[in-house]
Amino acid sequence: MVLAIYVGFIITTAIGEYQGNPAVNALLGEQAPNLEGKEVRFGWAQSALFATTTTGTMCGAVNSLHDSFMPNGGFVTLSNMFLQIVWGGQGTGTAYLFAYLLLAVFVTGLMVGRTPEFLGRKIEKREVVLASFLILLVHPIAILIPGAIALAFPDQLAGISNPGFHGLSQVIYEYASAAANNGSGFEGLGDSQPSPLAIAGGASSTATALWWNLSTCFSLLAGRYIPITALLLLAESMSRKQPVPLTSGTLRTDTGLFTGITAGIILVMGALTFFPILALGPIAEAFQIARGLG
Amino acid sequence: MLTDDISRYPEFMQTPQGSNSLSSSSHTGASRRHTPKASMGGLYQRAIREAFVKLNPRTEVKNPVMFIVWVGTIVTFLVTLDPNLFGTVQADPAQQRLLNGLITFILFFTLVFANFAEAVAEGRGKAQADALRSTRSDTIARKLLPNGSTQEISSTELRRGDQVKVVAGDMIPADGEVVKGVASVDESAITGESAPVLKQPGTDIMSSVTGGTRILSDELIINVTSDPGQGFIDRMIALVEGAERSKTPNEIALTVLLTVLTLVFLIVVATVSPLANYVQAPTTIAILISLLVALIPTTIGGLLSAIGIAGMDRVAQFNVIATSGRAVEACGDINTLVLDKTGTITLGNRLADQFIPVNGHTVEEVAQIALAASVFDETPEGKSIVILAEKNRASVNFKTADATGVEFTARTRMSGTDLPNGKEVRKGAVDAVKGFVRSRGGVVSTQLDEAYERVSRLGGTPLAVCQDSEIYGVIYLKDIVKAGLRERFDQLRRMGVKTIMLTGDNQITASVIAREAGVDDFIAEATPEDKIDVIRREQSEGKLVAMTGDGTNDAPALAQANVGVAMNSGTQAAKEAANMVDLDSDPTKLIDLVTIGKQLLITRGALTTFSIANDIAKYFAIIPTILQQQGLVPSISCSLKVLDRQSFQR
Repeated sequence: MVLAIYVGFIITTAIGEYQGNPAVNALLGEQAPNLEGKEVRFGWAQSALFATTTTGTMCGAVNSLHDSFMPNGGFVTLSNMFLQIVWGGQGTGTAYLFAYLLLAVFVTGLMVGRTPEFLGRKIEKREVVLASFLILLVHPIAILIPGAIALAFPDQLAGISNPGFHGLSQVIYEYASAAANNGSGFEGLGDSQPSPLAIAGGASSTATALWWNLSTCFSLLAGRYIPITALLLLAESMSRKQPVPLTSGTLRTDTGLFTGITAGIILVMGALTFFPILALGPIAEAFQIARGLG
Repeated sequence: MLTDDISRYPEFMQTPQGSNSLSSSSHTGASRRHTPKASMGGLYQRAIREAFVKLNPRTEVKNPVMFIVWVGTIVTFLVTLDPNLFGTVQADPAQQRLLNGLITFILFFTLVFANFAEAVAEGRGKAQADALRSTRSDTIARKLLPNGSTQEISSTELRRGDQVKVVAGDMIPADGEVVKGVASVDESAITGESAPVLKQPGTDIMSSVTGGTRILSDELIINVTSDPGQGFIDRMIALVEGAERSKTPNEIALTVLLTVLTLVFLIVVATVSPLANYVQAPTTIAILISLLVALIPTTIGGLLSAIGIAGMDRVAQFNVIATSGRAVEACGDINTLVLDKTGTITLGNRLADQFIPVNGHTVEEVAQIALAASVFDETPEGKSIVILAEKNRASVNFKTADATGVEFTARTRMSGTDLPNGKEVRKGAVDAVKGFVRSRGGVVSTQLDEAYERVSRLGGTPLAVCQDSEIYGVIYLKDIVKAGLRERFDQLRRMGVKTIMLTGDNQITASVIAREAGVDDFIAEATPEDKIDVIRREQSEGKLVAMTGDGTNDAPALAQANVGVAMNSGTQAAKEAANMVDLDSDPTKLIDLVTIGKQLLITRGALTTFSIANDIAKYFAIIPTILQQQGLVPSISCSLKVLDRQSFQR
């Protein structure tokens, strides 16, 4: 299932890059892949592969500038970091996937009329609290709240280089990258010290760099340590439970059906949280470019 | 060996005769006594009123999801009054007010409807309590006065410590303890076992009698041990009415999940505002609130408590009272069912299946004697003997008016007829008949023991038949497995529930019945202690166990079991230890309860899934609207056209 999402994401990015920017293409008068911000040795295909992988695995290394990707690429890289389960990250591994599995088991377990159990252990209040509260909730808090603050004062705090929908993507990417333990940058923000914009802009740009350093610090700590602590507590409480014997009435978690349900749960609980952002960021940008406004 | 058997297993103490049983378990199966339903007429009016009363914020705050909706309603109401309350709105104020008013109305309706659903469920519980109250029947009791005379009073006037006298045919008026006398009591209403049990002072189970059971022979002096209104049912009524419902573990877990989802969406919606402002697509507060309410799982949030109450109600409709929703829910998780054989798996009554002649007699002779001994026997067993004898061409060759019926007593454990010609025919427990024959100067042949063993091996109960000092043969009384049980056990097995049968019968008999009924496992020659051992063993494997019980000696096992169902007319101790009481005293209901428990969880799971999955649809309806305001997506179809044109051009 994860592989399917992964492949789907790569294809989405690759198509975007392959088709290139219609605005540029119009100037060139021919169909060309988008090569802005890319190492030409890698080309569009390998860059797409690398961008998808690096954001999915919380690797953070980049071989091309994600800022310059077409909206498709922005959509995929953001989604990867929102979900944190497309392969899982360095350090935390598939842990987030387990949290989603747990919730999937909980919901579907109820539907077959048994107290849900996962790996032979009953899922009760404590597990749901840990899985949902700390893992589902912390991520949006770490990304959306500072993101919203930054965007409420775009000039004073954010230092966005591309206003509009793309600017929104820039800001959110920054926080998603911090919270998802990734470290890659969408770039294009006045977030470094001394900021590139500081040379042109003066004092206000130093302020944006300070804001970025502090706020991403919060996202990084919250996004990283709270879920890891929660996962450890979860593992601890699961290991203490008395295993429940497997009966024919037990919900099987190794079937294709269950995989499909888990995918649905990930989509609903993980992805939908961030859907408005994606809609206002890359998706709106995609429409914008499609209509030739960009 | 035989006497040992009898003292250990109450089942063998019963002989089927003489019990003038009014409500045998076959009765309970056929005509399930439903508690009279209270009128549901006022229910809906009351529920509508309740729905508005529940709008009180102190009530609403208990349900976080609905509380958010409640707050949202207040806010939209305020912006209906003044659309510019939270910043100026560009749109035409009148139009904006109309929109806000509509949103307020819809939110308000959502709230009231959720409350209404809950109030209806609660109202049913209350109606059930009323119905329960009406089932308590008054009987006339003979109160024993200090001077030795008796006074007839209503059973509701009996107090703890009073002594009452009951004679054959009476209903025992209250729970109590036997202080004097020996009598057989029909406790089929409690135990499901149609055969009478011996009551005498001194021992625990033997001396305690229960209100509502019927004394069949002799007379008893009973010391009343419970005041009226203190009974189990009375406490049940208080419980149902109080609606003090503690949430079940699953419900709590689900509430947590829903609360988190609500919080997540709250953050999402709250942050949408600055984000949308940034991209010059400002949204109004009313739109944001409707987005929030659309996204948070209101469907399940509003109905969660109603589902819980409805679960209790479903159980109540089966004439079972649950002490907590937790118990109902646990039913759905049961891995193992521990069932008594008699009354649960088999009919309480055994029916005559075959005559086995001994001492060189023919089948016809045995049939003749058995018929003569059974003409006055009104029990199902006695009737079945008559039917079987008539099939074997036996007929009554004496004037029944001149003959005298000898009733079954707990002491003799036989019954029969004194014929007009002076002969005495008897039938009864094999060793009782042996004793009768010996006392008439007869001898007991080994053939009788062989026949006895043969019947036991087949899983039946042997009854010896004799005339004066001559034993004619043995009647094979067969245990009849209840119809349709095999299918139910198969169904349970598919659900992953294992069934264990407990019986006082010997190994051979037990295995025959077990095979016939299709249970997964059985424990033969079980003592009450075995019951609790079985439960402990299963629980140590992490399984949840359900059992039914009635006697005081079942109480520890009922308490130990995850779901203990006591029979309504069981002893007080049993009812207190159990977490459910079956008003019909029908042990097979445990199987229905498992289904109800599962349905309760399924309803919750299905609604949750529906509620969450719905969000996808809602998103795709609402997000384009926000984008549309920005003029980016004039309409879906238009943007699709744009895309189409582009791909066409390539």
